[in-house]
Order: sequence, then C-alpha cells, then structure tokens
Amino acid sequence: MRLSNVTRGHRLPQKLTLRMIRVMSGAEPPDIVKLVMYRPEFFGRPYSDLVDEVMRGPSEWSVGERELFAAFTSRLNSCRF
Amino acid sequence: MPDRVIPPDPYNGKMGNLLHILWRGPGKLDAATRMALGGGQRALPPHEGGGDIPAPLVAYAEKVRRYAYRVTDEDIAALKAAGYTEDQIFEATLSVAFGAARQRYVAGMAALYARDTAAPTPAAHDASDAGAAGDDANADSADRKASDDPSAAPETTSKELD
Repeated sequence: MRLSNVTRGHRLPQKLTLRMIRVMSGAEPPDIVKLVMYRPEFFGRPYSDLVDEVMRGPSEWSVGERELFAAFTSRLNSCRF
Repeated sequence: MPDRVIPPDPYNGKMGNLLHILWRGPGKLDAATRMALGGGQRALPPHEGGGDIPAPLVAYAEKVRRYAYRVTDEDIAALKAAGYTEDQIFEATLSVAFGAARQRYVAGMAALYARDTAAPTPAAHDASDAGAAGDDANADSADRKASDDPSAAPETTSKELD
C-alpha cells in the first residue's frame, strides 16, 4: 500500500477493529481490510454492499465459481488476488 | 434489426450508489475532477457538472485506468509534490478505478448480449461487432431507466476500450 493514511491513518473505531484483528489472528490485517476501513463512508461501505451482492448474493454461479472468476480477472490485470 | 430488450442488471442499484458517492459525494477532491477521472475521455461537459482532469493527474489516471500494476512510489511522491494530499490521491485513485471497471463491465455485457442475440448467419461475426457498438447506447439508457440514482455517470462505449 502506497498511502500511509490507508495503512495506519484510520479513525478510532476502525483503528480498534484493526487492532482486534491483529490480536485475534496474530497477523497483520490484509490490505483490502485496511482499505475498506479507511473513510468507510466514502468507499468501504458502498463497496462492501456491492461486493456482498455480487460475490455472495443470489446467482446461478456458486460462491466458489465467482471467487475463481475474480482471481482470474485479477490475474489478467496483473494484480495479486 | 429485431427489437432487443436488455435484461435488467441486478447490480445496477449498488454499483450506482458506489459511483454516486465516489464521484458526487462529499470529498476532499472536488466532484467535477472526480467525475472527469471516472469518465475517462468522455467526461461530462461543464454545464452538467463535468470538468477536465487537472494536468498533474492526467498521467496517473491513465496508468491506474489501463495498467495499475505499473504505479510506483514515485508516482505518488510526484502527486504529493504537486500539492495533492493523501486523501485526494485516495479519492482520485478510486474514481479512476471504478470508472474503468464500469466501462469494462458495460462493454463486456454489451458484447455478450450482442453475441447471444446475433443471427446465426455466415455474417454473424460482422453483425455482432456492429451490434456491440450500437447496443451500447441502448445499454446506457436501459441503465439509467433501471436506476433512480442520478449518478448514472459518464458511460463509455466499447469502442473506447483498447
């Protein structure tokens, strides 16, 4: 992550949540989690709403198939999934 | 050409909501700039709330839109040197990324639809090519009708995809 704000500039509630994830998992939270928790009203909330619907909502595709599509698309974009 | 009914897009509402917030919601970067970043080469005219992409953001926007994996720390440092804050860079990046995502999604759906509805003749390939470009305008208006969200933002055509 190239923006230090998104890495460690979270507001208090999100900061506490991230700290809890660190304690409970014993690992650094993934970048995507830090991203959706940074200014969640601007991005994280509406984005998660959409992603939940696309990836977990009603569909003819299984959840696993949809995850595979996402991984494949990331690969085509040279992005780590 | 037979009448074609574009099937409703079940994700239109939530995608529209996200784009509305990214491009028109309160932010640290002015909304006209965010909208221009999201709309690529086809930003809205000024009287519809559009604007130009400011010069220091042009190259960065193009990079994020077409090959985000090439972005480097130096790109971010250059934007900061030009006076942009991290929050503004955050907003600019998301505005571009979701504009690009939207553009590819619309183009992809139009291409699939054109293929599925093309007449099975020897000229089917040509017909579907023409259909993809022509259908985009229909997809666009169907999109807007399907959503009450006024953020149905600068759509782009499949022709703009490289």
